[in-house]
Amino acid sequence: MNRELDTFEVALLHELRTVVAGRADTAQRGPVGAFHRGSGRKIFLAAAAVAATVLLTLTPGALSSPAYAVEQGSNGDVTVRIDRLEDAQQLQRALRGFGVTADVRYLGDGMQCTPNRFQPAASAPRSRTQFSVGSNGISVVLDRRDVSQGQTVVISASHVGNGVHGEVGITAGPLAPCLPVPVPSP
Amino acid sequence: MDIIGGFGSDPNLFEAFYREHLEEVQRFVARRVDDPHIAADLTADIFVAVIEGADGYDPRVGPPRAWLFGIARNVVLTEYRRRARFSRAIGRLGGHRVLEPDALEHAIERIDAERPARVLRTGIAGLTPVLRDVLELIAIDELSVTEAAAVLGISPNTARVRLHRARRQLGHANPVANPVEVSP
Repeated sequence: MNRELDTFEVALLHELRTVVAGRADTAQRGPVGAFHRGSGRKIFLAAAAVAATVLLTLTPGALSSPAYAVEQGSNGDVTVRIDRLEDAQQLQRALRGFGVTADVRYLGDGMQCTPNRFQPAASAPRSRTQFSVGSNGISVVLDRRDVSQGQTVVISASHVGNGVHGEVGITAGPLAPCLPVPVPSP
Repeated sequence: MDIIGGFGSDPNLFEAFYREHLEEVQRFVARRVDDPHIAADLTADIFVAVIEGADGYDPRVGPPRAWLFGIARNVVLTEYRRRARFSRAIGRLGGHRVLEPDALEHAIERIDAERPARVLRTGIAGLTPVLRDVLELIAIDELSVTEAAAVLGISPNTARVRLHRARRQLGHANPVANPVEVSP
C-alpha cells in the first residue's frame, strides 16, 4: 500500500508498534516480564473491559511537566491526559471545573481496586468516549453525553513493573470503596 | 512475505506488514460492517490479534494472506457474537475510537465502496454456514480456493466441492454463484 496513512492509521500504527516493542521488552526480561504479555489487546478492548495495562516509559524531561491535562473540545467532549500518576485530587477538581464528577485514585505498585465496585452506565449511541494506555500516557476522551446526567467517571491506576495498569469506567449509580488488591497476572 | 514470525517482537518488521496489508484488512471489515467507528475498532483488534498470533504462524498451513484473513474473520465473528449477546444489555461501557475528519472520510468512502459486497453477503445468507463460508471468501473476499481452504482449515478439494454445491443451491441468477476462481 503506497498511499499516505490517515490520522487513524498513523495513530493505530503508533499504538501497535508500542505493543510490539512491549512484547520485545517482555521477551528480554524473561518470566517476570511475562506479566505484561497480552497487554496490547487490552488497549483496544479497553472501552468494553474498562481496564488496560501497558508498558509506559517516562522520560526524565517529563518530570518537570504537569502530571495531567484536561481540555474541553468545541463539542463539549472532555479530554484527559495523564502523564504521571500524581495529583489525583487536583485532577478530580480540574474535571469538576468542566462539570465532570470523577473519582481518581492512584494505587501502590501492582495494585488495583477490587473489581465490580460499580455498575457501568450505558453509553450514548455511537459514543465517542474512549480510553487508552500507551507509551505517551493514559488518555481518556469523555463524550459529553456520557457524563451530562451526573455520572461519575472512575479512574484508577498503578505502576506495574515498568508499565502502568489503568482502569476507567463511568457509572450512574453508587460507587463502592476502592479496596486495593494485586493486579492479576494476565 | 516471510516476516510474520519476527514482527511479533520487531516494530519495524511489523510496520512493513501493517503497511502492506492495512488496506485489505480495512476492506475486509468494510464488507461486513457499515459503521466507521466499529470498523476502526475491528481493524485495531485484527492487527492486535495478528501481533499476538505472529509466533504461531505456520507457513505449512497456508499462505500469509490466508492466515491474515483467518484472523480477521475470527475477530469479526467474535464481534458479531458479542453484539448479539449484548444488543439488549447495557451497551458499551466506553464507546468507539475517535476518528478525525480525514480518517472518518476515508472510512465512509471505503464502506460505501464495499456496499455491493455487503449486499451480496445478504444474498447468500440463506445458505448453510458450511457452504456460505467458502463462497463468501472466494466470491466476495476474492481469495483463491487454496487460500479459502486454509482460512477454514479444510482441504482445497473440500472447498471446491462446497463451492460447487453453493453455486448450485443459489442458482445461476445470483451473481455470487459465478465467482472467478483465482489461481493460488
